[in-house]
Amino acid sequence: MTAPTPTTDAESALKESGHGDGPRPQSTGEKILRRTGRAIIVAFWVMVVAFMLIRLSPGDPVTAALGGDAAPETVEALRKTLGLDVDPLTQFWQYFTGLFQGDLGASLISGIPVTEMLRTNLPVTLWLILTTVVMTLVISIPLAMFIALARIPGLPYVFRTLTAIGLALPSFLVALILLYQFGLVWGIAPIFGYDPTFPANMQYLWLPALVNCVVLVPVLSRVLYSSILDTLDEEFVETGVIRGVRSFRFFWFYVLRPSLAPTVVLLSYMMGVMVGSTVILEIIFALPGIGRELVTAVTMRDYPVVQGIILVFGILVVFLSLLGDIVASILDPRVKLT
Amino acid sequence: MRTRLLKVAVAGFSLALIGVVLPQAAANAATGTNCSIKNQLANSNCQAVVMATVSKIANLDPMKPRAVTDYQVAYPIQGLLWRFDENLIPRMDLVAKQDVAKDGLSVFQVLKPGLKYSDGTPVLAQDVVTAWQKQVEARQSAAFFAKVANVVATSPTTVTWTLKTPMPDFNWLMANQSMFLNPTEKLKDSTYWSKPVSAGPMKIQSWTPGADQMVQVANPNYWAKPKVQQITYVAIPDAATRKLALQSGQVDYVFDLAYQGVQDLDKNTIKWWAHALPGTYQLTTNMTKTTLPMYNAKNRQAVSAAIDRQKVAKVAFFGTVLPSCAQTFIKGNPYHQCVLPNDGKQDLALARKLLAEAGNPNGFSFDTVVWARPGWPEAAQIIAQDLAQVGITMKITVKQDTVAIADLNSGNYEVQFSGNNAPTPYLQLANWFGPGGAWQNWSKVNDPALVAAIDALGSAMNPTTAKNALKAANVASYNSSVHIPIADRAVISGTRLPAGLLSATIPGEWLYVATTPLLSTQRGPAGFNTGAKS
Repeated sequence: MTAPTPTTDAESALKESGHGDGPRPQSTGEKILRRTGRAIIVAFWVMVVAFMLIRLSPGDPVTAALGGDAAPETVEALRKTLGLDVDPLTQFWQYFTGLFQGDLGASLISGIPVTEMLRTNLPVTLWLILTTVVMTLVISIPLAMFIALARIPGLPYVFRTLTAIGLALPSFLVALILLYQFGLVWGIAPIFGYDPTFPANMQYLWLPALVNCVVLVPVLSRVLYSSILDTLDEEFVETGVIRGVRSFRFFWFYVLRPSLAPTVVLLSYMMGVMVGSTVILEIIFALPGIGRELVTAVTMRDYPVVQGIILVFGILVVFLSLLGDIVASILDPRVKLT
Repeated sequence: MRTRLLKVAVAGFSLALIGVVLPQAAANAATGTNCSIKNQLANSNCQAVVMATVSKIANLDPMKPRAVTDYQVAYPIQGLLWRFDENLIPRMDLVAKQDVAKDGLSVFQVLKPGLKYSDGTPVLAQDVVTAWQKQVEARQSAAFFAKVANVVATSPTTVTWTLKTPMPDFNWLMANQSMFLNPTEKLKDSTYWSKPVSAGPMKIQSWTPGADQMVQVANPNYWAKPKVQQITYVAIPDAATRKLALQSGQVDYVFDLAYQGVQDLDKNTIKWWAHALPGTYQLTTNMTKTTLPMYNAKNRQAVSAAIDRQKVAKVAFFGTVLPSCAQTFIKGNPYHQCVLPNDGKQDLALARKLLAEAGNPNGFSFDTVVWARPGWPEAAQIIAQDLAQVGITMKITVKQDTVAIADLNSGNYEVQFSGNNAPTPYLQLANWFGPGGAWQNWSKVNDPALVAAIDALGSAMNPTTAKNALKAANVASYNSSVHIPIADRAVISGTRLPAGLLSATIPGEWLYVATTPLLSTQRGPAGFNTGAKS
C-alpha cells in the first residue's frame, strides 16, 4: 500500500484556485448539468419504484380491486388493462415506453386517463404551492430581518414563542378558524371552489396558502433569523459597514443574500413535502387538487392513478430539490454544488 | 435590474390579491326574485341556485358502482314513468295512464303524448323495456324486479308489464332510481354517460366526469316547468365547510350537515331540518369471510343484543332518529311491529348467552368500515363501547362514502356501518336479502327461507296480510342478522331557498325539484303498498 503524497498548503491553494496541475475545476454550468444528470437518474429510480408499487402490493392487485368472487373474464380483462398479463420485463418496457408517449393508464374507477387527471388537478396543487411560497417569502424575509436587526430586548424570545405556537397548530384547525374568520365573519374569502384561470384563481388560493404559511413562516423565518445572525458575525459585513456601503445594498448583498442559501434549500425541501401534504387543505377548501385525488385513489385501490401521481410527485420533488440547490449556490458563492 | 423586476412581481402579485380577490368574495349564490326562505314557493322566482353535495359526481351510469351524490344529482335529469313528489309519494310522471288487470298480473301503461328527451329524441316504450333489461341483466337492482316476468312495448307509447304475482309496490318501484329511461339507441355509445340526455325536469349543461361541479338547467322538453332554471352542484366533502358555505350564502342548499352546531345557523336566512328517510342504519357482515367470528349467526345476534340503540339515536344523531326494533324502517310505516328481542333494547345478558352458545364466551374481534357522514363515526364509536361490555372488540376505520362503496363492491371488508333506504319495506328487504339486491350482492347473504318470506310480503294485497307478512319477514331477518339494524335514518339539510323548491328527502337521498304543476297534483290510481306513506 502506498502512502498518500503529502501536499503543501501552497500546492493546495494553487489547486483550489485552478492554477495548479490538478483537474480543472468545473464551471457552474457544468456543475448544474452534472446535478441535472443525477436528478434524471434519481427520477428514473422514482419511476421504477412507482412501477413496482402495483407489483409489490400485498396480494393480487386485480383481486384486491375486484374482490375474490369476480368473474374470471373480468379479472383477466383488468389484468390486461393494467398490463399485468405479460412478464415483468415486458411490463416495464411497456410502462417505460408508455411514459414517453404520455400514457400513464386510466383510472379503474372512472375510466378517466391519468394524464387527464394530472392536467386538470395538478395545476391546482402547483398553484397552491407557488402562492404559498410567494406569501411565505413575503412574510418571512422582512420578519426575520426585523427581528435580527432591530435588536429590541426580549423580541427574539417573543418571536421564538410565537413561531413555536405556529408550528404546533394543526393545519386543519388553522384552516377552519381562518375559513370562519375570513370567509364568514369578514366575508373577504370564498369558502370553497376554484377557478382555473389566473389571476381569478388567487381569490380561492390565498386563504389556503395563508394556512400553509402558519407552519412555513415560523420554520423559514427562524432558519433565516439564525442565518442572518451568523452572517452579521462575518468579517465582510464589518468591512461593508466600515466602507459605508449604502443601506439597501448593504442589506441585500452583505446580509440577506448570503443568509438566504439555507432558507432556499429548506424551502425547496418544504415545497416537495407540500406536494403531498396539501391534501387536508384541498378537502377543507374543496379545492380540486391532485393530493385529494391521490388519497382517494389509494383508498379505492385505483392503482394506475396512484402509480401515475406518485411518479409525478417523485419527479417534482427531485427537481424542486435540484432547483433549491442551484438557487442557493447562485445566492451564496460559498455554497458549492457537488 | 433583477431586483427591480422582483419588486414589480411582488407588487403585481399583491395587487392581484387586493384588486381581484377581495371584491369578488362572498357573493350571494341564488339569483332571481323572492328567492329566500321568507317567501312562499308559489311567489318565488329562483333563476339559479347552488347546492353543496358530499362528494364529487363520479359516474352517472347506473350499470357502474355509484355513490350517494351520483344518485342524488341523477334523479332530476332522468326520465321516470313515476316520480316521487315532495311527500315521498309516487306520482305519474311520463305515464299518462296506467291500468292494472283484475288478477293483478298485468299492468298497462300509456306514455304521455309527444314526450322527448332533452336532445329531441322521442321517448319510446322500447326505452322502458331497455331500462328493465339493463337492470336485470346487469343485476344492479334485479331484486327489485323479482316479481316482473316480462316487459313488452306494445306500441311506441304503450307498455305491458307481466308480473309473477300481484305487486302492491309497483308504483313505488316505477319511481325508483333503477327505472331511469334513456334512448335505447344512444345507450350503445360507450361515451353516452359522460353527457346523458334527459327526460326529467332538468338536463346537464356542463359536467366533466370526475369534476367537482355540475351545472343542470331546466329541460325545455319536459312536460312540466321546473321552478328553478339552473342548479349548480358543488362538491364540498367537509361537513364544516358545507355549513360555512351555507352561512356565507355561497350555496343555497346543503345536504348532510353535521348535527353539532346546526343550532347556530341564522333562523332569519336559513332553515335546517332533520328529514327522516325510509331507511335503516345497519351493520352489514361480509358473508364471504367464512372463517371469521361474524360469519356465525349467534355472534351477529349477540352483537345485535349488546347495542344500546337508544343511546346511538340520542347521542350520535341527537334524537332525530328512532332506534330500530325490527329490520325495516319505522317512520311512516303503518304496519311496523317490533320483532327484535327485548324490543331492540340493550340486553347484555342475552348477548353473553348467545356468545357462549357460539363458543365465544369471552367475545371476539372484528373490523368495521364506517362511512364518513355526519353522526356515523360517532354512532360506530358508541356501538364499539357497547360491544366492549361483553368482550367484543369492534375496530373502526372511517372512509369516504365513495371509498366505502368501492370496498363493498370489491368485497374488501369484514363489517360495514352504513345505511339502506328504499321506498317501501318490501323493496328495502329485497335490496338487503333478495337475489340481485345491491346489499345482497355486497354481503353475499344467501337465505332461501328469508327470500321466501320477503316474496310473500311483496304479494300482500291488503293491510292485514301485509302486516303479518312484514312481521314474518322481519323475524326471518333477525334470524339471519347479516344486516343488523341500528336505527331509522335521518339527514340534516339546510336551505336559504323557499320551502319545497329543492329537497333531497326522497328514498335514496335523491333530489326533488319542484315543478309547475307540482307533481303532487298528478294523482294516479289509489296506492296500496307494503308499509310506506301513500
